[in-house]
Amino acid sequence: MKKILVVDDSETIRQELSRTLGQAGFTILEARDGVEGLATATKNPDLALLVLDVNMPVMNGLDMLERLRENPLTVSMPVLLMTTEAEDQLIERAKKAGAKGWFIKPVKPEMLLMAVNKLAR
Amino acid sequence: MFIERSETTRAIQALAAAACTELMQAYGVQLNPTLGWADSDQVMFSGVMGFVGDSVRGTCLLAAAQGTVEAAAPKGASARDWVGELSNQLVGRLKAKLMARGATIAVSTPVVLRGVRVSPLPRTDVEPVVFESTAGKVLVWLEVEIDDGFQLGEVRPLKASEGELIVF
Repeated sequence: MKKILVVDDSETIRQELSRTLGQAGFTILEARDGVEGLATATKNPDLALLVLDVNMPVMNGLDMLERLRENPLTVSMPVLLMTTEAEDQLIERAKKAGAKGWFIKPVKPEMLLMAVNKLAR
Repeated sequence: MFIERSETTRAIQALAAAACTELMQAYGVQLNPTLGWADSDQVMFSGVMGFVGDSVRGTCLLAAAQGTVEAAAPKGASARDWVGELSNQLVGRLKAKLMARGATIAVSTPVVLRGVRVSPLPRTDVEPVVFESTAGKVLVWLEVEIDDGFQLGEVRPLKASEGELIVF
């Protein structure tokens, strides 16, 4: 089964994503912020996709994305940002760092599944 | 110099109120404007977020009774967690509305409060906006300062809006 890492400081959002993606047959790993997310990603080089919130305490999703690109173990992992942010500069920063997509919350389950199936490796 | 009582300030507060209505509707709760804040021993939850930009800065508070928060929440969500997420999404929507009008802000992460008989004490003459729903009341309180002379621009389209996906 393909593994997906969900990184969001909201436990509710993590549970919702895990439920939706788990029912679709994915194995879900969870982290609460960018630091936990980086540690989990490094230990799981076979991740098919990372779904990252942007506005999180400790380390935000964009900083985490850029840190992923500095590590040979995680440099090529596909990343989908899922956030309330719609700022052009942030979207461009994610694109420059090699993200695959940018989703603006709230996200309907069918849209999430469509995106994950398209972007997961 | 910062000014607090201008048409622009009121317009920004109206944008926050509109953002709240749209947000709660997205989670199945229909809001209608009303008067008067909760006056009971209901447990209330509030999410508070700061924001700052070159010309606009302030704080946004979203408050609702526990039952109202739960009505907008996915099954099994904790009110504490969900009011924080709703506050985050509310300020995200406000940020998008401001950005579409030429003002960019950066936002903080939310602080969540819980209490009984908590009442706003505005420092300006601009009162918080109160809505009612079948699940209870919702309050949006925006304290905002703008640079002297700053005005919101004409609305321009953004790259994407709520619920949309951009594939790179």
